[in-house]
Amino acid sequence: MPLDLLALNLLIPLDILIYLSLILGVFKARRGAATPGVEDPVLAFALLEKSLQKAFPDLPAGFTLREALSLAERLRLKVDWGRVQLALERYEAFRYGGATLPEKVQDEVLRLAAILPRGVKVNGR
Amino acid sequence: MLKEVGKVVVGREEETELLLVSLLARGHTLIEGVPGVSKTMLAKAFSKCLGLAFKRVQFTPDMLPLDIVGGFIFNMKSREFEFRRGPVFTDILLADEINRAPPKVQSALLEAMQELQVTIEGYTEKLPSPFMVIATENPLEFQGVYPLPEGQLDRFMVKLKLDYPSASVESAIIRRNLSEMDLEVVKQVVSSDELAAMFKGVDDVRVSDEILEYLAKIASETRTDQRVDLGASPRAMIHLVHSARAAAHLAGREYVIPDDIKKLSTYVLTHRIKLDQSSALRDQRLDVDTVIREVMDRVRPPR
Repeated sequence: MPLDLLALNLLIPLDILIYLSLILGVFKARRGAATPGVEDPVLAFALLEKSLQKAFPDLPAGFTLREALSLAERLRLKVDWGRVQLALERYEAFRYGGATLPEKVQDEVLRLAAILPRGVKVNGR
Repeated sequence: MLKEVGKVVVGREEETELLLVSLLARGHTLIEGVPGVSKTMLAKAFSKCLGLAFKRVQFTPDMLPLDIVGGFIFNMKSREFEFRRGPVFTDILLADEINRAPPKVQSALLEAMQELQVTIEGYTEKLPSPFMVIATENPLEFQGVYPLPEGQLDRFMVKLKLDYPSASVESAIIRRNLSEMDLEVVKQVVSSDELAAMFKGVDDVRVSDEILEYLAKIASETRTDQRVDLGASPRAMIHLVHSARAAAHLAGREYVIPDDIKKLSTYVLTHRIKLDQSSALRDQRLDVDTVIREVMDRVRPPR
């Protein structure tokens, strides 16, 4: 095999490797953006709010987190609702009651935000 | 408490809770309902569970303010005028069919409700504490009634509409009434010290600035809605925040959340908002409760 043809054949797997690493890098960066640090409950609940809005596009502007979560609960997702409720209560205590920022209770909130489906119709509204 | 009231009044748990919210928020309640839907029994059982003094006055067109607030009576023995307290001097006053009394009597009671004291000919006497008026009116009567004007309706913190019960509740009511109903079965479940602690607890409930801004937005939205002739007054919003504090305390929280405001908005605003006549004529199904729900759907709460 001529030397220039061999070099060309070697370039193909090299290209594949480069593109694969680029694609993996993009996916990793996107996953990183979707799961913020567990030390940031405000961001976690902001993310949950966005996910809830995408899950229930019919929700009016005046919805509360409790109302939207009660709708989400009906979807029977595999989430520990007790932990979600606890995280919400601590977040509310911080948000409206002036309590200290809760720590490490929002991992279940982030899990819920990640698995919420999109475009669910809200009945009875 | 709900269990105790439930011994004599079936299916009125939400109304009982709202009466307690109104009492703890130092407000008064207007109950609209046709005759025979347990208005009086509910008020009596409610007062008894709390160990509060209760009086009932049936309002009639021939009443005088004296019949409510009391007045000076000449004592033949001492040859002096003495102040005789009227039925308003109690903890819970059931003003039955308030819209049957002439405006003079209504305003005498409503002044007492606002000032928490009675003044007659320069003599002032404070009303007991707590003091709450539970007034009732029948929505179907138009003859011989004096509807409360908007300014006086505004004095009531909460308005409850007692509809006919559902079929299952009604059969339970009938079954329970096969034997004679006796208020004796209702026991006092809250002592005066506990009640005082509850009032203190409500006073300590925090309302964040964001919740206050949320309330202001709701008020503004009711006033700018094209279908509304008269929107929520500042007093309405004060009543809403006070009732939300009471509801938060009963829920075991030391702070108000937007859900408290949303839950109570219909009960606190329904009797204060007046629909525009042309809008009401255009859409026969339009009612104040629908407008309030739509306003609450439009205003974004702090999240």
